[in-house]
Amino acid sequence: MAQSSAVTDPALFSAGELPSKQRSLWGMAFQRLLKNKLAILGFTIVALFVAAAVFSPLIRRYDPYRYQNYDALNQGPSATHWFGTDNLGRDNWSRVLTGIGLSLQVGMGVAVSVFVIGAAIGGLAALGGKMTDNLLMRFTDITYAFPDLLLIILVNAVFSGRKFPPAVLQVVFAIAVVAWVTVARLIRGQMLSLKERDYVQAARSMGASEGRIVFYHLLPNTLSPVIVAITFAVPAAIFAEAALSFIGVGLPPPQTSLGRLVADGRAYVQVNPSVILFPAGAIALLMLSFTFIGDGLRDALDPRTR
Amino acid sequence: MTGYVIRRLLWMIPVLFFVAAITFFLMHLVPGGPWDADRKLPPGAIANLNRVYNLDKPVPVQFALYMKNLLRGDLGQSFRGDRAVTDRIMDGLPITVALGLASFAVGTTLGIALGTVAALRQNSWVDYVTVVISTLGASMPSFVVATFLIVTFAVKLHWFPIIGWREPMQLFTDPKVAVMPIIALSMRETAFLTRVTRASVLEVVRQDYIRTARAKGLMERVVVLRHLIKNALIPILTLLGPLLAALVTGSFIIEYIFSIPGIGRAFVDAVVQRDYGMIMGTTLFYATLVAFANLVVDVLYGVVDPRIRFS
Repeated sequence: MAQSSAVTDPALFSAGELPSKQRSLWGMAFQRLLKNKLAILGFTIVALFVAAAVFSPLIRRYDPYRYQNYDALNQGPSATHWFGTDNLGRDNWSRVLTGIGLSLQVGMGVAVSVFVIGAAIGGLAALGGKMTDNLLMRFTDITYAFPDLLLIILVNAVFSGRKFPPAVLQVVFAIAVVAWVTVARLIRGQMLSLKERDYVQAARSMGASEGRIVFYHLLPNTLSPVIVAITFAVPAAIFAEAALSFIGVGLPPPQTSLGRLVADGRAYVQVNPSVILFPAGAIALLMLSFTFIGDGLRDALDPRTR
Repeated sequence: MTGYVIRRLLWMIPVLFFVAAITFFLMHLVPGGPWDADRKLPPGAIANLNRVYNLDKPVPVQFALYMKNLLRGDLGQSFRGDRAVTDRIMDGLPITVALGLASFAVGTTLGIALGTVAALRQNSWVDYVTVVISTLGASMPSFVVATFLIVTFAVKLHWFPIIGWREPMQLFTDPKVAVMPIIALSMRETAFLTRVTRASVLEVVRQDYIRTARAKGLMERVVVLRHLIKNALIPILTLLGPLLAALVTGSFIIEYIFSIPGIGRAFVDAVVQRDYGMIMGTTLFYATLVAFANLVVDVLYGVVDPRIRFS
């Protein structure tokens, strides 16, 4: 890297070749991220999808649930129905838009819950003494021993038919119950090694409270691998929700989850393939974009793993 | 090493116990019961059924009874068709294993081959095409792949039937019915292994011992097969166990789409029908499978790479 040569060469520094503005670790990571074309592509697609989901009442043109055009059943894409219609004459463009919104909600919801659960359990295990650590890690092992999708199906079934919490949160919670393990292990490992570092000792000797040490000195420094893990949890969650809805045990009808749209369209695939191609394509594109972002973040935050 | 294996096997017992306990209590939290049907049963019949299957007792007592039977190897009765859970699992097992193993074989062979070729021709068009396809493939859910396959090869081209795989042996006698399920299930594994193998081979290619092997004039074939692949495969070996477990446990979506009567399908049906015995049986079966897969891999890892010590 050009910078490091400037740092090691004082002549360059005094000649003003070295950028005088100091970059933080996060700043440098951000610079590396901006250079990653695929990550930028991923961010762009996700931004477009988020915008489409947020502004869907303005751009969806038809009501995804109530609108039905009996004169246009199972039609391909056209000027009036951009993505065509389904077997009941409902507009696929508006239904796919709604589905994208649901997928994004599930993905983001799982990311947040996984971070909260993972940080709480991983942090407690690392800082709570040997007993707590042993107990929590054995609990983590047991959760890990479950086949993921099966446990998700079972937890989700526990919620089924209940009014509270709302359906999307039910699915989020069911997925998060399984997905927190990786993040908890990461945070525990990081914190165990960090809490012995000199700067933490220094903070402690200066009389910093336990809470301040955890939230100001430990947690922020565990973040880079955790951010990467959480980013990869998003496509996994989108997949899990779509798979659940696809086999008919995810979001209850009439919610137009992308997985359900693919499942519903399967019966009419011979007549009108576009009815499944658009939602299936949306799932693939969403997962691909988040994978690109995750790859980019990993390369940017930890350049050694390239 | 024997001590290590024994310790790991012993550790499986409490893990599986807790898996059983958690599943048992979760499944009793699922609203509704096994006798909910479109046609309501008379209350007397339900009371009798509950008594026969111990469902009238408190859940912790039911759990204790279940564990007692489990220790004798009795997984109990399925509420559907009045058959033993063990029998129903044995019915579905062969085809699920056939699907899982065939997909595993396809995915592993293709993934390692493609990854190696791409790495050996780094930055050529072969490499770029492989990287693009494997990146796309790794983010395609199996049911999306299956859907695209059905649209293209069943609906448009009529090459393969959509359903029809009912016996495991059809894999050899009537392979047409198995092609699409296997491709759909192995797609992500192939893509994932391609990426990992490529990275691993690239790492090994730069090692000194490869340069030495070339410098002493060994044939390229020998360098690649003996020195390169062997060393590049070590990190991949650890991934294979979880991958096989994921293929077998993840096959229920594929079984659902292609109407394959395996245990994955049986589990989904069991949850929907609140068939408690089947839910427990399939979950425990899958959990045991996952635990053994991980153990085998950890042991293999030490066999392949003697630098690793078991502790």
